[in-house]
Amino acid sequence: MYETVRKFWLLGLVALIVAAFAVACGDDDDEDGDDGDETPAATEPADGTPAGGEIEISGVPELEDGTLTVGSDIAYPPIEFIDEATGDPAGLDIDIANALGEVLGVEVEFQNTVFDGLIQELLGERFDIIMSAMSVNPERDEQVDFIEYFNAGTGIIVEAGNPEGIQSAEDLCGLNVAAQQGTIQVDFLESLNETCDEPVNILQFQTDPEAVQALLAGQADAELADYPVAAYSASQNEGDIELVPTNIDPGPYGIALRPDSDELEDVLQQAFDQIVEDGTYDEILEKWNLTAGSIES
Amino acid sequence: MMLLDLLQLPILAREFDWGTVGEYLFRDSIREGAWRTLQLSVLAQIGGIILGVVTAVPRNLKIPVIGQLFGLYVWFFRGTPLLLQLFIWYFALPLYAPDEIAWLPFYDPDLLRLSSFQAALIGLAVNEGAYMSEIMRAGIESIETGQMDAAKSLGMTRLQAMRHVILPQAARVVVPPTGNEFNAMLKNSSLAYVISYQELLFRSRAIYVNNFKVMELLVVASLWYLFFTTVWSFIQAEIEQSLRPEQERGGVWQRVRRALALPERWTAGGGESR
Repeated sequence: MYETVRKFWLLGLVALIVAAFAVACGDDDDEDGDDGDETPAATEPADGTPAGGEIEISGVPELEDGTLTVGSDIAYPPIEFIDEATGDPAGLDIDIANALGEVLGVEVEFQNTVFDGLIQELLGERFDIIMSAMSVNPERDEQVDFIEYFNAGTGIIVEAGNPEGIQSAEDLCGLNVAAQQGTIQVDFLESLNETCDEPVNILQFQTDPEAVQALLAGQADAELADYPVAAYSASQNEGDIELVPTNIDPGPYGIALRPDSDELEDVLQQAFDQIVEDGTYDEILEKWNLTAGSIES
Repeated sequence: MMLLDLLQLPILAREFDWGTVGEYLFRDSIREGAWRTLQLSVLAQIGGIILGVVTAVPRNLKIPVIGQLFGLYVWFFRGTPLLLQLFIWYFALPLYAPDEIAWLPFYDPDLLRLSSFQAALIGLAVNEGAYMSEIMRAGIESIETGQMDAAKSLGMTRLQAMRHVILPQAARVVVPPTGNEFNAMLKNSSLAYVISYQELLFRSRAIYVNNFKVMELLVVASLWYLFFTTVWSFIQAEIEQSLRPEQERGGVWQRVRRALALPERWTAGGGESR
């Protein structure tokens, strides 16, 4: 009987040790928050004005910790994705955010999360802004404020060789079409269904790459995503996937902010105007081959 | 739902909109989703039970080759996440299926392109089968070996003994864990949303991605799941009770307590409650 009791104690101890390791090694979330105290002093003289430009950020509560936290669904190349080589986020949104951060003299930190939770998390103050290739639309506009920064429409990708002969949105009727749940592409397909004789079978997945998988696996005849993303998926899967050369309903992406983040919105808009003016914006778009989506055009 | 507004705890940081809960609780799309969850769960559980029984017997009797094959099946499907398995059935299968197999003339790769429902059903059933196999095996082993000896002495083969003597007795033992499995299945079915099967969770998400009432819709889904699992608890309690005719059935409150696994009496001995 005592043997059994001792065995249980031993087991409990082992379980406790394993759990302790799991907790100690697993939780990296808070580490970055502490960096707020160690923000490079070089870029911020004592009175709070950044050395880089003339934009005053001392009155912006979100930037008091010297960090601009950005919420994003980092699985949407080339707008945002994790660079395999470095393990860090990369893409159009990352470069623009970093450019804005440099102008304002703050660190920029990206937080990866699921797309359809972004607005809720922003409102719950998990981060300062959203930059996630988020299209501006009336429903979202009711919840958040937007700073427009890029133009994109919807692109269609299909199996290489385009066996179903899809040339435009109308050709999608009666087919299986994949998209990411929560995107405007789903809204688009649902409204398309109202005009179709035979409805589109809309397959919805939790990330865009999964929707592309559905196309690759033949589960879907076509996949819809923002045009630059669709183009990128096609280029990454040359031979398996091709892009239908039609850009549907172009509309702006917006940086999303909480409705009460007036000061932040103000300085970000100023910073954005500055990078457009000084050519940084154009450079970034050129780097990613996305000049067609410039907000100025 | 107005009364429920009184449940707004003054300490909460945000207001919880019970009105939205009421608005969507019985919406068509949600009810359809709930019905599909139920369908999927029941069918997958039945499939799992059949797979469990079929695979447990050869393992228990240590039938060569088949016993080991089934052992591998149990090892793999209990050893990998269900979510992963669903991805494999839905995405990997059609992606890697060969375009043709020379020595199999009736082979058609399109057959391996499972729809969301098919992949969800097969995925859940096969996964459940592995767990049921272990439950059945434990149930079989709990029957004393004397039973098998007695059956053999009557001239039965091992398989006949299984069918007529062992399994019927094992059935009673496996009812509680199997009931537990079905309770889990009702919830696990929600994972099918990742392969675009439009069950309850998928439908709830489809609504909140448009109206942003995330928690309110998740509460709607939770209420449905609670409804299903609670009803099942009662059914399970009745089934268990019917296998124990010698025990007093008790009145309504006894049954409620039993169903919710509450202690019968604070001073009850062991064995009463589930």
